[in-house]
Amino acid sequence: MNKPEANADIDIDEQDLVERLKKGQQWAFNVLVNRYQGRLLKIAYGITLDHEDSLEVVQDVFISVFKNIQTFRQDASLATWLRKITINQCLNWKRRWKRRFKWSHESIESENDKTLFEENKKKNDPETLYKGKQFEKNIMQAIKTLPEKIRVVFVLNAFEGLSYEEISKTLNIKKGTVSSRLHFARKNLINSLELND
Amino acid sequence: MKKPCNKYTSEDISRFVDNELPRDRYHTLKQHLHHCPDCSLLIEQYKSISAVFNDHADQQGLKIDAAKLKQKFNTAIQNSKKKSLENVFGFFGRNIYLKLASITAILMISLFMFQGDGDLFDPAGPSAIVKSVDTDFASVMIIETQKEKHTIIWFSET
Amino acid sequence: MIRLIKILLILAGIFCFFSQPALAKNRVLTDVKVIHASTGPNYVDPSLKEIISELKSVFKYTSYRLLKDQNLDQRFNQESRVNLPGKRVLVVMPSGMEGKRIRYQINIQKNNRSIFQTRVLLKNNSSITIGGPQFKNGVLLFNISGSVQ
Repeated sequence: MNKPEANADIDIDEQDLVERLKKGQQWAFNVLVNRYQGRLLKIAYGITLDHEDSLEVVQDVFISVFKNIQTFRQDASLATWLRKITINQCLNWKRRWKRRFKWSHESIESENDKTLFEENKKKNDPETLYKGKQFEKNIMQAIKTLPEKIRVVFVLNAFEGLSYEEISKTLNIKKGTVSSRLHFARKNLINSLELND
Repeated sequence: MKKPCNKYTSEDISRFVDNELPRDRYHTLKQHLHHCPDCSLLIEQYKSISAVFNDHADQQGLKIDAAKLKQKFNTAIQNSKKKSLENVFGFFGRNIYLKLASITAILMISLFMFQGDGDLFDPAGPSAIVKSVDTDFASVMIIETQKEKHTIIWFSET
Repeated sequence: MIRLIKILLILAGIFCFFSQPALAKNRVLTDVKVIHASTGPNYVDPSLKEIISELKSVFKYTSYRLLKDQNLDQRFNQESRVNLPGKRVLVVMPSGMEGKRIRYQINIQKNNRSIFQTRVLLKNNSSITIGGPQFKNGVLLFNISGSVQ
């Protein structure tokens, strides 16, 4: 099989990509990273709400794929598999507890978020834009208070647009549980927003 | 949160937003929205929360240094390849006598420890060596502090 | 470097071959401190000064209150029970020595049911900290120290 040009985004179908990954072709891993890193970083961020953690999670996901690609049976898509690994890494207890213990950074709230909002306040933005930013800030504050297992469901729904069936298969939970957790998330977020008004 | 009208629960509305209501119920609710501002408002609120979170995560995702990720990943792959080579050829080296002496030393140390006659690393070891843990809780962590090597066992009841 | 490690290993092996087990001792003084750790206003109980820097190096808690300090004079294989908040009981039993370490069996029970058990080898005159069940906006930490007599 000829090796295509090493480039940022190769147009290669999934079947071909998986075959090349299983052969251990380095450039195939580069294609994999280019293709999925953005999406996985977003999912990881949605769950961990932390830049550093997200980066570490996704790095570990790709390393895990490198080590375990032979076990990928292709009974689901590559994206589904990667998504599952990402979620498991995010929910990995060690990582979760790292946030509770001192050797990790102090706060789950990203410093970047704070500066973004503070800077916008200082810039004398038009009122509507400021209100929008305030709304975003309030939502993010409220999202941080959601239990992680609820937030995961919310992330899969909001970011990946997965159906309840797909979410239930990804997380190994019942469809009814997916529905109730999503409802819980929405209800709580709205209640938190109303308290802040 | 303002409740929707009495005809539908907030969970019905939530499932409607996700297109997860049974077909007939979905259609009747859809009709209902034409003259129910409370239910319509709730739908808009649910949708806007997801949209704002989504946009926020998109923006934050862009701030994450993806080049760093690629670099770290490539380094990790190279290290992983090096390690597997080292394991095959490495530790004991070419000197046969040193090799044999090292193996003998490891055997002696193992015997010593299994006899229970003493802790080789005492007193420099951790304050406690954990021999076993048995719990219903899935999450247990064993920590040794850096300075005094104080042992901490952490478990979570949730 | 590798050569040095090998030489040290050989010396360590020789040392182990000739080293002797610890002296036989009969009694163990066990001290159990029950600590309530939380993110409340900064406070550290004075009796925790020996371990506080270690706890603070690991946990993010800012308040460490001593709820109970129980001293137990135990023989080997003698079980002692310490009542804990939240209908819990800590059962601790030194069961022997391994070298210079005291073998302890530690059991935490809630509503008379064992929820956590561990066997540890505790360095003489040292301690271990176990935690942490949730309790009143914080967690409980149990610091167990032992000294053979």
